[in-house]
Amino acid sequence: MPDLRIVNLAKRFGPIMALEDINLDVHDKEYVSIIGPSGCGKSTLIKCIAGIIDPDEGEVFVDGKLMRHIPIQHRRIGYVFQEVTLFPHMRIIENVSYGPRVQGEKPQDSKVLVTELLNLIKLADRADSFPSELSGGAQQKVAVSRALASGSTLLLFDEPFGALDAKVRTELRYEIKKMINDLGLTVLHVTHDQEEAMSISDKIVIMKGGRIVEEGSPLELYMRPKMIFTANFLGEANFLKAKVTRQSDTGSVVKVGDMFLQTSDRTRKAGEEVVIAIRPEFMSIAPGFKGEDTLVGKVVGTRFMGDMIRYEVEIVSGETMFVEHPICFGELDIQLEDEVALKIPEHLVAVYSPPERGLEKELQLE
Amino acid sequence: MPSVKLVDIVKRFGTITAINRLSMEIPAGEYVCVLGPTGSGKTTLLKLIAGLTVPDEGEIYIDDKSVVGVPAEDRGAVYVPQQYALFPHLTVLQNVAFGPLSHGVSDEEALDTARAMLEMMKLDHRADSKPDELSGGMQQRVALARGLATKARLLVLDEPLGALDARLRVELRDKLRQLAKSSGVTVVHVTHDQAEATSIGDQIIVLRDGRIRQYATPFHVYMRPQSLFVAHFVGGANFLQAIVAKRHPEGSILELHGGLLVKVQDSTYLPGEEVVLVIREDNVKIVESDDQIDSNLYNVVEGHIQSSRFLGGFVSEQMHLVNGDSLTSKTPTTAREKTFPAGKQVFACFKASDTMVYSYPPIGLSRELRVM
Repeated sequence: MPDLRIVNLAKRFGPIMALEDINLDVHDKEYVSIIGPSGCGKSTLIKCIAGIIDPDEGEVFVDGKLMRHIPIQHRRIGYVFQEVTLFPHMRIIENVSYGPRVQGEKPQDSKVLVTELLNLIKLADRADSFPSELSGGAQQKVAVSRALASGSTLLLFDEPFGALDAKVRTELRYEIKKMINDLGLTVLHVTHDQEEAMSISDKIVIMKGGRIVEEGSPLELYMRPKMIFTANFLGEANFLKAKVTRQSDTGSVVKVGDMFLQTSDRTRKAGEEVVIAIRPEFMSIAPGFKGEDTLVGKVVGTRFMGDMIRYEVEIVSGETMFVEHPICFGELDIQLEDEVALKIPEHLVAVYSPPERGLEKELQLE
Repeated sequence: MPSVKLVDIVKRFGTITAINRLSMEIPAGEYVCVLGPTGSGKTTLLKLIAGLTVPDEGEIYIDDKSVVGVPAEDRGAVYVPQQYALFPHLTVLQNVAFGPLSHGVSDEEALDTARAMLEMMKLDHRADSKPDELSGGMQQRVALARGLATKARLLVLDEPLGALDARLRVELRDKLRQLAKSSGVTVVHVTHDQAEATSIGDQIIVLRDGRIRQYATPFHVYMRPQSLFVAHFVGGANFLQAIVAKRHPEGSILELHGGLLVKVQDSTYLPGEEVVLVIREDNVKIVESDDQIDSNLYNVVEGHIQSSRFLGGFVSEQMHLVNGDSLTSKTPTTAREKTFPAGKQVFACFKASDTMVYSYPPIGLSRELRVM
């Protein structure tokens, strides 16, 4: 039952608060990812949990057990980071069985587990190879197996796929995820890759400036982000300044320039200034100016993206919007300079209070 | 705005042939992305064009002039390597201004250009910092800004956005293209990220084992991949082993494992031939009941859900078909916010017109598709 509990964690490096007020629970067999821009403190957090860095304040509990003063090798936590750190002079099987061996286990005792692990990562036939004979992706799989061979059921991943090619990374993440599920492990995974986090996690934690901004399931955070920063960082969004004009039966109406949009937000009053966020693929785009409750504008760019077409539309209030149309929805007859209408289902318009320090600053990624 | 032409280039490192009889032409002012797995020869190709390495065989022309043996600085080319080297003792602004200064521009003009480049790279607020005070991603942008600031007419970029956070990479790739297009430079840009290549390049070169597998617009590479490897590497797809059962002028019937028959549009292969059926994931629809779909228009195959993944704009679902094959479907999230639970009986549907058929590769399917 490797529950992980982090309470009021803080860490300071000179004048910089690397971590502040971090509280986080990871439940047994949960896969939790931490994402955030560089310098947000995500790696520092994972190093505090591993026991590589001592926090200034707060505690880490694993299975209800206080981790303070327990050195890294006794925490029974598997730790895998970006740089592959296999022993170059040892064969794959020796690398994987290294942990049990230094813990004093006889080779025959750990043999079953090591063989099972190599089977799981489909590298049993490479057991006698040296690391340098394997691709980077395969080496990283070995590193994960080695972390598991000591019997750890809590795994910390610090960008384990970060140094690999995009295509390899995608293949590997699903392979590792399957292995984690099959073995019933608990994982805390730091990554800078939003899609990676969304596709494999039960829960995502978003960090910025040493603090947790928001946490939730990938779907929740993507479809209904509570914070502007989340809307901008997890996926992409168009942000517009708007003003609430009136309440409606289903929510409220906001005004962007001279255009009106329905939203399902009920928390704000007429006259309030707001910021609205709309993801590029939440809009449908159609030729010609028409109807109420749409944004209208002119196409200033189009780009084929494989599974979708990306349109750049300058709306009449002056802002530029990105709109993505899935190819599988059918072809559209829309060309550069065409006048278009953008329709947005009201529940997909996110409404926020204007950030205190200004929208532009809020959207800065570093 | 120079054009670049390579004729029959061979480059070997010991027993390894990094570039293998490669010929290509890049028209002036074009933005070309070179895409390929690790070890495909991408960086070697760049170094050959930039003049940092010499071919064992073949000719390289820039603007129709042979440049083999001509050093980088005399080719009008600027190479921005993956491992950027900034001057640690100079500020960010001075580092960037070094680019134009080394090309004989006045101090004032160099600084103006440098400031403009930093603004574009969203680094104007760090102009006075030293490189070691910046994150890796920021340093990479400084190196890129320095390359762009030289106003070289041929830019050779090796993974210029590789060290950046995914989110920032999306933001900067549009800017990079805009800048290149507005200044009219010719760009060769190496990347391993197919989304980046698709969104920036006028043309994409797909490289594997030192050879060009396809050189075409992103649209063509995606819609009409010349090989199974290209279909897999750019966009990804489902690959199912099959045998041609029947052939008509307007299409064929393929037999999949377990005797499952499907209609395809292709009619180039003969009955009995071993082939691979390719279906893009976003062309596979999943429905709960087969009366929801027109079976004259779609192939309908029964199966059950194995797993589902949320990808943001898309939801992907993995199906186990009745014949034992696996099939992945990708649906825009706005079309279906809920995924089906594992184990649920469903039907996979795809149109004959959305399929592609290739001859079964002599080296085997899994080796043909291997990217590691």
